[in-house]
Amino acid sequence: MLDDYTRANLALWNEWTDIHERSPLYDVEGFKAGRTALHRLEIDELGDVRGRTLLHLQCHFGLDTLSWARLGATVTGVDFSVKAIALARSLADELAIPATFHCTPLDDVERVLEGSFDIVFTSYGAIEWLADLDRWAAVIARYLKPGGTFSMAEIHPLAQMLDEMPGRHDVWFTERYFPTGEPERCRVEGSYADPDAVVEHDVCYGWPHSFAEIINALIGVGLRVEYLHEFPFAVCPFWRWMVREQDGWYYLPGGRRDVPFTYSIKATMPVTRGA
Amino acid sequence: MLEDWTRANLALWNELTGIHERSDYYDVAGFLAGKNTLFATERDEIGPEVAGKTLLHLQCHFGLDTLSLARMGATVTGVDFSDEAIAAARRIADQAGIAATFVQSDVAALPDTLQGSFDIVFTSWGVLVWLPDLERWAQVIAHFLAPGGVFYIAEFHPFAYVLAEDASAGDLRLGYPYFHDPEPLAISEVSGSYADRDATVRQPVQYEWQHTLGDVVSALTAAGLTIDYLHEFPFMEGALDWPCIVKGPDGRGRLKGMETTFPLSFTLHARR
Repeated sequence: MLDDYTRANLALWNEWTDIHERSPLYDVEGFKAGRTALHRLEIDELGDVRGRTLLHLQCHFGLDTLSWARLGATVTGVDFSVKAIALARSLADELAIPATFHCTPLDDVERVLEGSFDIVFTSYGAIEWLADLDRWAAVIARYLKPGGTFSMAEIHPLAQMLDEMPGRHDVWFTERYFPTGEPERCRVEGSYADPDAVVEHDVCYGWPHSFAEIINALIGVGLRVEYLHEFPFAVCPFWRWMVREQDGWYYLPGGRRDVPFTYSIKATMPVTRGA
Repeated sequence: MLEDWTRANLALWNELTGIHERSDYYDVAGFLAGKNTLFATERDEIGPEVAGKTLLHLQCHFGLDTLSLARMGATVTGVDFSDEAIAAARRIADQAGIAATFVQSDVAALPDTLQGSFDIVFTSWGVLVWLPDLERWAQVIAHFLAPGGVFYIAEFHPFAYVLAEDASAGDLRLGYPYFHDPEPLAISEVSGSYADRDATVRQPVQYEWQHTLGDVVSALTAAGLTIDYLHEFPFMEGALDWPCIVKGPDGRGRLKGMETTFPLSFTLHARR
């Protein structure tokens, strides 16, 4: 059973799937022609995936999942949106990329998926849709083989506290850092991939998560945190005036490198639990 | 140059030691009368673990917290780069009749000066900004920890160091970079000390390095430590005279306008 918040989010993500399929940000045609949907960041951090099994949590319509497959991983993607999973499967078929996709809320993955993986991966704008990170971490631990790797790249919690200063291309602190357990209700305009798109389901709910909450959730299920990296660029423009540079990332204008917008974590499942 | 920066900071801390020994903030008389100088944050979190343990206190200033930990049952060694601070720490230990070892050394050079290993390495409040190199810092911690030994830090939150000097409620602008720069911030025209703003400090400039939360976590894990927990708090202990900080009845400082929602401190507990 989905709660009301997740139901609202699901309606939005189903609608977003159609918009994203046609958006320049996702560039499905480029992907079909062979372009990877992954960034240098996650490719470099995860390293060689050839011959390894990979589970992608909250995979949306699977471009990243299929990009990992092109790099040699045996991939499984899960997402709660039926439209996203249908599109992921049709892309995999069309491009003849072997991949398994399951439509399921994260909480219910165990109902549809067995086995364990060398790698569990998640990225960019995933965990803000989850109320309970302890449950999230338990799913990660459930599917990681001993010695397996968890890798994530996400939106930095400091960036989530910022908003634009009125009339200026600059930012200041306006939003809370600490989670309350209650979701924040957001009015959606278009999509992060296409701000001008029209959406019918324009209310969504997100849960801010602190670094302590994220790291302690992973530690709590027995993972060893290997690193926390932070970066002064964003995966998509938070505000329209952010600048896309040569490397494809979005930055504050004027060459600024002082504000974190992205972080990554690598963690490993010990070979002997608790060791 | 690193030597110049360190020399300036050393001159500052040697000068601050005399001021702090006489300050109400540090209240040496109260300490000699039995007061525990640890803040509630670290007293609650690491306090219960220290009895019967050997403990190394990094960047201990003139040792009041080190000696408070000795009173709680730890066998303590305090380290600081200031010779004035170490002299004062030894004097106060004698006066209080508390057994303690104090060593004058940079954190980075400590393995050259000090032998042995410890059950606990402890450090707190306003220490990281004085370190140019967290990777070296973490290696030194790992070097001195016995297998299974515990590292604990209570520190100001890196997000707090981003706030502009004159930030205020409803106008929380960013004034400083979040990311580490090997070139330190040169800070001058500081009035007095955090412990006594009216004191006269002759040292004209101090040098501080920002370190991110990721820098702290990654340095410790790279040195072989395993993190037990990371805690974050919307309050800070100690130096509370930033313009945008309000002091609560519990003695803790919070950010005006974001009293429960902005992170001002963190603690981290790890083991080798």
